[in-house]
Amino acid sequence: MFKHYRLRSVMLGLGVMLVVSQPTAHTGASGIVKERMDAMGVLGDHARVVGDMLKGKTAFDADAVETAAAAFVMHGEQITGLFPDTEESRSGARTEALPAIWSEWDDFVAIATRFTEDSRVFANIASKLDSGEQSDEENSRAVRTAFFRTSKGCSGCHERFRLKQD
Amino acid sequence: MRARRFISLLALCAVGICVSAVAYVQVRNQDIEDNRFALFSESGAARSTGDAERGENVARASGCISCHTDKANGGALLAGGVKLESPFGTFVSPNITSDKESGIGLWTVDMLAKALLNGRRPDGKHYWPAFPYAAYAVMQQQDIIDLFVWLQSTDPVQGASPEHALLLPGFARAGLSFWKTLFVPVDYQSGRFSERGEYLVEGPAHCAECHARRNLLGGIPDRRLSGNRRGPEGAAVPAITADALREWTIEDLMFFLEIGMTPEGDFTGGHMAAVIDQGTAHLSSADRQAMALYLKSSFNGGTE
Repeated sequence: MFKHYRLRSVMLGLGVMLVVSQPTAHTGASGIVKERMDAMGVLGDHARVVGDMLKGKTAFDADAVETAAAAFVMHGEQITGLFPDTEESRSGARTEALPAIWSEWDDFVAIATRFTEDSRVFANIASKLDSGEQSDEENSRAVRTAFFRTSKGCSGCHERFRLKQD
Repeated sequence: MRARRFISLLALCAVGICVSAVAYVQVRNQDIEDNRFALFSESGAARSTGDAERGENVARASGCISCHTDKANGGALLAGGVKLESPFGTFVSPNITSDKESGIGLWTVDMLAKALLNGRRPDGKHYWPAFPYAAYAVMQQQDIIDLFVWLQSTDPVQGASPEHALLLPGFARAGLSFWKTLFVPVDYQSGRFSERGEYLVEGPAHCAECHARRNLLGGIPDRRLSGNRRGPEGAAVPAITADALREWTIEDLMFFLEIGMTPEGDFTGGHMAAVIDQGTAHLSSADRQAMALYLKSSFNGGTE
């Protein structure tokens, strides 16, 4: 049963990657711009999965939460590397990265660092969901709190460093 | 000779007509403002004293903090300095801390009410409509009294914001009498916003200020939330009529107003992120639900 869930999460993850790698919203992007857009896309899909659970749209799935939290941690560790100060990175086609990223690099790094730390806390909570010590409701509340905290990194970064969009 | 006299007479008439038109508009606008303030004062039901905690909630719902706190540059709470670009130049939000010199520490509750409802400064001049009084005109008495108490309880911070850098000549400010008669809804103190969600969305939360189309005068001719192709941050602002939001559930909207996440898992950026982070995220879940219910209702938007 446990393994079965794992498998499902992996399949879901693969499916998600397949979907986001389709040249839809990111048409025209290439190189590092495409790379980070794809990374953001994967992250968004994990966020949606967790969000749908918290909204009650889908059933609570501890494994999916764990997968999402792990993806957040990984992304947090890699994110600053996805924004090198190069011509392609700054002004490649379809980029939504604002120049403020490089002029206010320390702030950008601080948000990424905070995001990674919050993601680790989230991952830690997520890893204990299957222990059976807490009720589903308690689990859901814990996930909500940790996910909300982590999500501050997403909105905080987009607030200052992503191109305004429709 | 006769022709010249005739022309002078004509010119004199033209000037006379202009002067009376200006005078008429000013009197008319003053009437509307007086009437709105009178209705507001008489609306009663307010407790004699305000409540700071409730007032903070009003400030969160009204976006006071996101516009008057320069978070990106480490500015103090309500100390102003946030820039708002517009086709008319750059507006800079003023210091509204309780500081007696730089802020509003010497204001009375009536001064605050006249600022919010009528867009009038304590010295009697008009505020530029970057300050969204066209929406605040609906605000209820108790909310303004509570807001006043909270604002006066905040830490005083010295230092005025830089001046606005406008492309308009100084005398254009006087023309705002005319602007107000055109674009500040007159019936806003009539109590027609009795439903909580409608009151929040159309009033304090002033969604239309960014999510509705503006005309050449910078006015919002109809306050329908059908989006703005030329938004204040140089990008389009999406429509949020019930029709535009048909793919969103109530839970999606509540979630968005709490953490800024769209149903697809993307996170909003720009000023909307600040509006949420400094504002709607702090409201009660019941208030977010009321806003969501109104946004999804047939009252929001009508036909495209």
